[in-house]
Amino acid sequence: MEKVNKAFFEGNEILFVGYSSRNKAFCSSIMNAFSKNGFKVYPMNTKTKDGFDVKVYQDFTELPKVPETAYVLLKSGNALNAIKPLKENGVKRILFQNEKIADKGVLEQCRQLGLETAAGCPMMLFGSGLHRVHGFFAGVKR
Amino acid sequence: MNTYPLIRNRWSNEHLLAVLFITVSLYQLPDWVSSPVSILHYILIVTAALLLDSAINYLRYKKPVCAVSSAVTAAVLYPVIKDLPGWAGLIGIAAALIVGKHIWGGTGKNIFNPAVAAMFFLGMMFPLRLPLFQPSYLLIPALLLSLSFIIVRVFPGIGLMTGMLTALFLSNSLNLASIMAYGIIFWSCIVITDPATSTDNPIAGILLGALAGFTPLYFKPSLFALSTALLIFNGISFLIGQYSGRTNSISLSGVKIKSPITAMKTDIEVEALTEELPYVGCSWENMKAEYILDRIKQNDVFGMGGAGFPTVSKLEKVIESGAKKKYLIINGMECDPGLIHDKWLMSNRQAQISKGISVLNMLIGFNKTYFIAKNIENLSFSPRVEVKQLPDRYPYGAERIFVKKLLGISIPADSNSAQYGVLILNVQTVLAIYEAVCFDKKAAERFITVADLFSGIGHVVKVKIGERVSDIVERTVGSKGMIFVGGGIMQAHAALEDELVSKTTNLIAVGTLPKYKESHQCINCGLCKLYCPMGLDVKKIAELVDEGRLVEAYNNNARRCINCGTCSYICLAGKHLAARTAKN
Repeated sequence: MEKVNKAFFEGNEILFVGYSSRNKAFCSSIMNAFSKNGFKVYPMNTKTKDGFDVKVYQDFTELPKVPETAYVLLKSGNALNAIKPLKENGVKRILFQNEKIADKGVLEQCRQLGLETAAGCPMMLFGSGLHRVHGFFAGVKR
Repeated sequence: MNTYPLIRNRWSNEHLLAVLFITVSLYQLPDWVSSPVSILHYILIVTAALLLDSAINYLRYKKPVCAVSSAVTAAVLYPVIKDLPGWAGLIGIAAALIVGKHIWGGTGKNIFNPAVAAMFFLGMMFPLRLPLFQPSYLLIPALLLSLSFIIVRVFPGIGLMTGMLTALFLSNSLNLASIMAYGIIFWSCIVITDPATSTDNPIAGILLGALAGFTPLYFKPSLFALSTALLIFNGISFLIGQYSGRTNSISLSGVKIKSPITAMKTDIEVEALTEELPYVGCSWENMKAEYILDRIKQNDVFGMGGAGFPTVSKLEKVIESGAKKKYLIINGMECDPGLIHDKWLMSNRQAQISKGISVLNMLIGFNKTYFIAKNIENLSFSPRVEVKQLPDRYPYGAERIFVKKLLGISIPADSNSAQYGVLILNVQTVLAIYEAVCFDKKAAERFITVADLFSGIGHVVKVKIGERVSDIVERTVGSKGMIFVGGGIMQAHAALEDELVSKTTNLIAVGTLPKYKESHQCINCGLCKLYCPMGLDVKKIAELVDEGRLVEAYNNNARRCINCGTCSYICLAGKHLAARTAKN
């Protein structure tokens, strides 16, 4: 599995799986970072769509289109359950927030389904300030 | 979808508390100069407080939370504990943070000032005496900086100061040295002004503050007596707070908000994305009222200030209102800091707007016509139109606010101004009326502001109702970012995939989502209540909504919220308060 890098993002659309209202400030930052870099972001939360400042899609049928790249911000167990539906709906590559989420089971399933994978906080790549420093020490090339 | 301000107040609780910490720390300057090693003692005490508070916060919130409030508590308590044994100082810190703060639910939820609670506790163990400070010119920086904090709770501060000064006067010891030694400014600007534990009721604040200052200092000048008096003050403040919040008043303070559009004055430009029809002569003077009304109706003229309702129904309501005096108010305030198109219209379409006003006066014989704006320098209308300048503060352009200000009429939440014989129209609506009546032109286009919030460049754009928002952005804005639409920068929402320009669209902006950090640590500063134009106890309503007690929130007048977004803009805890009141 590779580290998060710009080449990983093909196209200019991203499916944000796990856009959470409990972690609103962080999700907003990620959303802003993607948007500032020209990506159209489709936030998704299968549990709820209320309490957000943006339109959050609850399932794939609701999405106007399914991007080929997905960014997953879920716990490892939930991430495992999300992989198959992502593949079935046309996602080709998945960026996981960190390597803790992308554990062996998750990576193995991605490999079996032929999904490209990468891990790393997108803020290290697209954010500014301390996020850049974090990215530098994590070996993320901007 | 909820609307929200795209811009936020840069100040936060943490900033305020950090400045307060520096101020209180300066009270130790005389000691630090005479004995530099005391700095180490101070740092140890503050560090102990920070560690304890951070640990408790982590247990409570399951994540790291800023603990700067505990540093302030330690700094306030330090003059009392600096001469006590180290273990006593640590007990004082623990008492302040656990008994004074966390037992009540954490920062801002405490009834009693944590430092004062610890003083009370230590006062039972040790004979703590007043005065607290050694008079010194080195205290002057701290005293001067402290004075600015009286604004946080001005009435209790003044009350306490008056009470203490009176006690000194009656004891025949009123002089600068005594004022410094007894810490009059320290207690009245730093301690009693703690917004979480002090009432914002002016009369109660002054009276109780004066009593709390006078009684202990005059009868028994000890720290135990003073802390007891302050704790009683805190307790009564809490009880008063429980019964406040139901108000029908309209606050006219407003907020001065810096416009994010920096290129407004010099680079303003109109980008006519639709064809502009040439203006020709119009003999509206000979038209009958029914004809004018019919033209307005047939051409679907709607409120272009943001309401989007049919103008004809407003006109009919004014005609049928039966009010003895009828008023016409042309709203050119454009108080939303992100809009520029009304200003452009007032500069470039003034003649047409003036004719529109005359058409309206033909239709309804208004007793008085007002034109209100923030800047009236270049406005010139017929003598019957009184041009009024209102302050450049948000949300002065909200109908209920300026009707109260201008005519002294209070319009209830479930009524509208037309029922009171007051017709309020936005400048662009007046222009649309002129075009509908004189040129039989459908109101199918409108001027809006398209703002690039990254570069600060604003465009005035004429668009068709029903046009795709993303298409307009593509043709006007170069920056990449999220697209927002709404009535203004204070009332916007993220654009949907195929969002179209609607009758209520005033602004299209490209920017980022506002950062609402939703801090748990509201310090009860009261800014949301102070700046709410409808005088609502916003914090109380938000808490009730968070607890799911919607009926109680409704009973606290939440329905009177005009959704201006001021509370979300101003909140020092970064809470999106407007979203909570909007739930009602």
